[in-house]
Amino acid sequence: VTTLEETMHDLTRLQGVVGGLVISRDGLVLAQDTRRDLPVEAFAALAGAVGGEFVRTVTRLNQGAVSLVVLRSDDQLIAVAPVSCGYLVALAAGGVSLGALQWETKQAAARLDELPTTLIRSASSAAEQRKEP
Amino acid sequence: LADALRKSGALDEALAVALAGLVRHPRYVAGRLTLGRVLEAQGDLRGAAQEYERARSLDPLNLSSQVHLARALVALGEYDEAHQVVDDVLRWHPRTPDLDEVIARLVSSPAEAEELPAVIAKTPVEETVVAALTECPTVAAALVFRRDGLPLAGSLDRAVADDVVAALTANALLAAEEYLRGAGFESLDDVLVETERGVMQIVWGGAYAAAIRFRPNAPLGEAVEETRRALADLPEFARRPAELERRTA
Repeated sequence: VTTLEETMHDLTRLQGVVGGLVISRDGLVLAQDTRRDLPVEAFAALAGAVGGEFVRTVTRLNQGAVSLVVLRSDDQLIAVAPVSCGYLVALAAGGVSLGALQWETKQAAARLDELPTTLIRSASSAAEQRKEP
Repeated sequence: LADALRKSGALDEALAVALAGLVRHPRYVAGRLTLGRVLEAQGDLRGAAQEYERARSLDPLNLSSQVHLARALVALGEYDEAHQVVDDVLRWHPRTPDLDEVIARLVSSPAEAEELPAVIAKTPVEETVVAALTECPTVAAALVFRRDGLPLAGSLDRAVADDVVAALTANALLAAEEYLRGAGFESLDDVLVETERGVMQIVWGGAYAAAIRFRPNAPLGEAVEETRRALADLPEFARRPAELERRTA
């Protein structure tokens, strides 16, 4: 069975992608694969908040289900794809191929949605435990 | 209360109420406007123009303060200054009957008879932006709106009113920008949103923003490059009014 981490790794193999996270809707990190120092918790909270903002807005505009949000800021790209357990997030350098990032993020999101619920539940429980002081 | 007193002709009482209110709330734009209108009704055009100018500096995109200011400046014979105000208004707002009245007075003034028609005839920036975007082969539709959510030109979607698109999108952009700045990012340049109905690009300019719908199956990288090139050729899209810049800073 593929794990969340393996799915992350498939995404972060793409040239230019420096980090990938799976986060719950309330911003808890369920899985991560980052290639550089990244304030993971803060970045997860940011991506969840920003991604969620656009998902809600576009849904209110009757544009159908959102499959991907990509933000460009300071020559970096933050891709956020809604998945059943929350969001899949990728951080990439500005020079990454946009088409490749779009394709790989959506593919990874689809693979995440196919993972057994037990796997997601156990990742959520582990994240909750890490959150405990 | 001050405005009601002004309308009833009790100008001295209106002046006292407006001044007292502004002592407590000096940044209240509507209060500044009311004080200006009271002073104007009392024949103090110079004082009125100063209040309208203060209202404009508090809220640089406030249409009412700019129209009143332009009108007072015309009445004072300060045509160059009035011309500048009208030019600014036309840059950020659609034409209104009040503004047309000011323009008509300005055009009939000897100093402006030649220059102003050229300003009025100038295509507003937002229309130029929409034209440049919709000329891109990958773009199906574009809507340009102000940073505060007022739709200016173009249209995104027949099924959703432009003012709803502009207001919701501007809100989301402002919220996203705030989150990003809180996390140490300097700016938000643009956002791509892919849905069942296709891909939208939302671009933050200066005082302007644009929501763009790409044609179905348009290659994303190519589509985004096209719109970025089109907007890069329009520096006014990224221009911010100096007052707004100061306020944001």
